[in-house]
Amino acid sequence: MTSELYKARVVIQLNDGVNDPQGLTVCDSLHELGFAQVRNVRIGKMITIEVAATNTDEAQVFVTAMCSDLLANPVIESFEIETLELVSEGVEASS
Amino acid sequence: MKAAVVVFPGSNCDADTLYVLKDLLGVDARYVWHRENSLHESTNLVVLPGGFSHGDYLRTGAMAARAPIMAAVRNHAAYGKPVLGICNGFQILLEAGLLPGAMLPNTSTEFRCEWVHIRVDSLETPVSSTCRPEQVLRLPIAHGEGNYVIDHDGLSELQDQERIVYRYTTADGVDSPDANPNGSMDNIAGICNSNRNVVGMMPHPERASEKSLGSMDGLKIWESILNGIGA
Repeated sequence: MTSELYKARVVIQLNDGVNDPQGLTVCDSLHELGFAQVRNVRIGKMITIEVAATNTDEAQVFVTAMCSDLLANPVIESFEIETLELVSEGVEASS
Repeated sequence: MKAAVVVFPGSNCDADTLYVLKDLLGVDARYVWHRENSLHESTNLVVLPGGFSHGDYLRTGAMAARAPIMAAVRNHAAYGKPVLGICNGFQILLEAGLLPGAMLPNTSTEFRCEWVHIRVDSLETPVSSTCRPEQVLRLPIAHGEGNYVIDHDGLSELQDQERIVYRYTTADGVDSPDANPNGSMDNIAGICNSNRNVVGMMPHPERASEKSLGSMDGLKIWESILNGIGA
């Protein structure tokens, strides 16, 4: 089946209030470098996914399912599909 | 008594766990590869061993929790049979939703490899039934992400139902912040599910089951399991 290739950019962040030792450590380091302006640092993940789909809506459904099923842990994280762009048309979807 | 030790890519306490069960305790214990779809027939106990499954990529235990064998582990748990997750095994049980909550990096940002004391706060689980109330065990930990978190209601539920099986304490059994090696809520070192047959714990009983290793307190945990199964 032919479909289009989309590229999604997903951002995963720790929920507010969830302790982020990594962010705290980087915050300390920025202060030591003289960036006294820094008030808070939170570290998340950015994942790009190339996905074959017949249209944008379908690609959106696929990527949302991927986030819910694996990429984000709802106990501590939230996700956002920041961008979803058409990369190329008429690609062969594998299996 | 038959035990399955599930092996994921990156498990590294599988051999220790099998050794304790098989060589020290005489249990018919076998490895089960994570790509398998079923456990050996009449398996009584499933252990998810420690390690760094799938390189701890994405989140600790995230990929392992979705391995083919986990459907069989889920089924085994649904029958009320014991499942013990140790360290990475605990993280996998959380990611699989077989236990509530999640793990974050230790608040110290250090990988902690040291001896700790834990207090047995519930005897009504397969891993603590032969312990004395509030018995203090000396076991090793070795993890970078043992900082257990859960929402407020979830924590209240664990406390009210006495599902916090082990808490980090001083050698005298006091659960002070100083005795907490990773920042986990309420000094949690181990919890069980509402049916009390699925248990996750960060300390390693398999590394403290022989005199030459400096502690035999881990045996209390294995003996409880064997006793519960009637082996």
